[in-house]
Amino acid sequence: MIRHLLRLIWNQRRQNGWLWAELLLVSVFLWFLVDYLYVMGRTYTTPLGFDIEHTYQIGFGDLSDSNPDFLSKEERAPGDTDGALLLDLLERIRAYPGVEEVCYSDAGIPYTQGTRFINFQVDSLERNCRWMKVSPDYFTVFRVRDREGRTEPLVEALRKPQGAVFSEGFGQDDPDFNLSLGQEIVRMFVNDHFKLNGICQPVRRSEYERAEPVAFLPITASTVADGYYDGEMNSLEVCFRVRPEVDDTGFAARFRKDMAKQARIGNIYMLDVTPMSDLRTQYIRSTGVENEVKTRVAVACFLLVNIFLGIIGTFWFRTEYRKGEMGLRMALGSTRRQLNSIMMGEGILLLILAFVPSLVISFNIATMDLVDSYLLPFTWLRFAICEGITFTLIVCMIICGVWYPARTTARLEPAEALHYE
Amino acid sequence: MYKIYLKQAWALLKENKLLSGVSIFGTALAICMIMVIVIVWQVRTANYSPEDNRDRTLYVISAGANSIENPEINNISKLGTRVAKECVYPLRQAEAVGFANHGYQALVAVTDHTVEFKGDVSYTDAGFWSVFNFRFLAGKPYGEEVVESGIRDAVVSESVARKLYGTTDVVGRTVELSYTLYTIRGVVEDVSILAEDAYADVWVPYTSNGTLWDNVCERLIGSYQAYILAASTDDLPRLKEELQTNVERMNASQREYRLNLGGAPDTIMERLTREGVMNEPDVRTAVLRYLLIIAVALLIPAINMSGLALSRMRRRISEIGVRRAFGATRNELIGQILYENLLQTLLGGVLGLVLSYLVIVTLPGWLLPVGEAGVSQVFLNADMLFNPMVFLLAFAACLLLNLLSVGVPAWRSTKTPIVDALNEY
Repeated sequence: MIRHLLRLIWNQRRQNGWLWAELLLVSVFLWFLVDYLYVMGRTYTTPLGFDIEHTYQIGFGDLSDSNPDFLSKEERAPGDTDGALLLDLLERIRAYPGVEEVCYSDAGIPYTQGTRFINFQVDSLERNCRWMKVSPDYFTVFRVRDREGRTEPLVEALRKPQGAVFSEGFGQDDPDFNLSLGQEIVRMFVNDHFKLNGICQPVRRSEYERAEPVAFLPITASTVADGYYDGEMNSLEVCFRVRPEVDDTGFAARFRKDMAKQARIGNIYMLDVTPMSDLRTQYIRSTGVENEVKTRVAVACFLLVNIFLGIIGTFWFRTEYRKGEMGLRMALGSTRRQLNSIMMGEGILLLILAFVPSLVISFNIATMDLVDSYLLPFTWLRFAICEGITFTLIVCMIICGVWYPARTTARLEPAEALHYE
Repeated sequence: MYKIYLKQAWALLKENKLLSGVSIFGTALAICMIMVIVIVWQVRTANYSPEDNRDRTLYVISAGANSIENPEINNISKLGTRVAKECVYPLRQAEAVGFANHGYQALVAVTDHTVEFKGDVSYTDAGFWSVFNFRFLAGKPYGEEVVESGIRDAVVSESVARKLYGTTDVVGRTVELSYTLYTIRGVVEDVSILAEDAYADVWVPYTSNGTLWDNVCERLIGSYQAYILAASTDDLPRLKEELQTNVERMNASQREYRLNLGGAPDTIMERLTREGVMNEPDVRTAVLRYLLIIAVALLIPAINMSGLALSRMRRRISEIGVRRAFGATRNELIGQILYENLLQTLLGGVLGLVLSYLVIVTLPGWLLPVGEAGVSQVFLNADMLFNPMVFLLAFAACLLLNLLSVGVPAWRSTKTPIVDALNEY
């Protein structure tokens, strides 16, 4: 059967040559796109390490010193700082109906554009690592968990003096190194000493990025109360989590209305209450990755539709041309089903003939590092899955394209078909 | 004669609905791809209110300062007001010049804070209002005296006025921007963020806020973008030269830093293709890249659809034989086939154009540079989307696609000797 089909293909080589070349090219292009989408899909579905559902950020602004309401340092009593007033305000926010927990951080909220890196030394191993300052309740608000899936130990870990929490993955590249509780941590250059009191699950920056080690260092209430952030209150991120039953689309507006007056304290005011999901949208938009995915899906669809057009055109032409042959086959006892399978078989065999060299080309592209291997390592399994998806997609298009011409042929009466001979 | 062709084309379309559908769909997809690219380009470069004169505007969007002592040291940001005053204001050939600082967010509120929301504020000079063509619903813009003395006057968008007071009749009333009181002097129609140089929710004199960033590298660098309006497009090259001369003159007396505009001021095209502050934009390559993408989007479907067209031709080979036997020339026949097929291509073209508008309107965030918009949301209007040029281009793309996909099959099938063709009958 296959030899017969091969001979049929060979006999029509002039036309099939075109189609073969197109299938070859398209298989490579499509595999490239499928591989990208597969990597993105796999990355997207791995755990983030935090949860922003039902969380909000409160943005604060500072009055400019030309503002008539601005309080200068001389006008304020010692200890009367914006930071101290803010901490009082946070207590009132915590008491607001439906609010579960409030936290503040510095370069620490999820989906933040600004990140900091510095060298840390743990047990004589020095690595550059992302770090952020957070209040202990940060872990509760964003549901960051330790290896056992608990949050409380992390909160406790940061409450202890000079305690720090690292995410898994620090020093992973060194097989001799093992991150474990109680280790001494040194923040290099500034020579700050901490103790590793908690290890949390890997944390990622967004759904489209790989997890990277993160150091959570404590931001103490006294630092805030001393006025460390006065005049730059927008760099202190205040976030809170509300209970699911009170969280609806009107919550932010309600909260803002109720709190606006109370939040106008010292030289600061409440600029905005934003759901964290909005910050996520902005962040993802700024990376442009979702648009890239959409563009690649659009190109993949465009290619698939064009294969469909090419296949249907070629096979239809061929059936028109070969009505006599089909009539002959029918007269000699081929059933309609057999005719159908000859047509399908031709199409799929042609694809296989094109697919084998395309596998070689694709594999070379992959080993030349032209596909992503940072988010997901390039393995045989990944190659097999993506080529499998590519093959199936093209086969679907071939079946769609062959179906109609095959049906019209099979429907011919043998006598009528023979008439073309 | 052409009426008969049209009738025949219609009959052919109806004869094989599935395949006609497939080819119309194929055409629609190709046209959609191309038109999305064209319309996005149109939205980004066309003239529409308030950026009515993009084609004769020059832009200085970014600026760099090179240290004279150590060329390795570069400071890259936007313009300082000093440069705007020393180099841009004195341009003799310009019809209008202005500058603005975009991207500040403030808490917009009525005095008792019963209404408050986050809004985008632009800090501008007085010339800004003559560079762009805002439609004023009430009041008028602030003038030079106001800007010079730093008086807190403001112009707000219609949405902001309505949100604050429920009406656009708000001239003379007050608005608080981050707890600083301003008086509203004018109300303008909302501006879409797609007109990114004019866009804001509230516009105020740049002198009304002393904290704006404006004093880096001997005050060359700051946070402002400058706009220069020429009287006609012919003046653009001369204006460019004039500004460059002005900058050189200023640089000559600089001690620590020299201003580097990287070939700016830019025309709208140069601005969109600019990739770095210090590098001159390469419009030619960008346009070539666009043309290449369009050519591929035309060619691939054309090649694939020519198979379909060829089988269509084969079915009609006997008809062609008869016509030729009765004296029709090949050119006539090819013309007829192309003309008949045009109906199908145009159907696909219209569908594709509608599809491309749908894509752009439903997914503006995908294709257009829409950041986070304040009160006046991102919106697209007829001025941005519809333009005779767009329709003309869509029609040209249809003709080209038609010629590419049917031309070769028609040429091949009319080549068949008459007797053979008749024989098929």
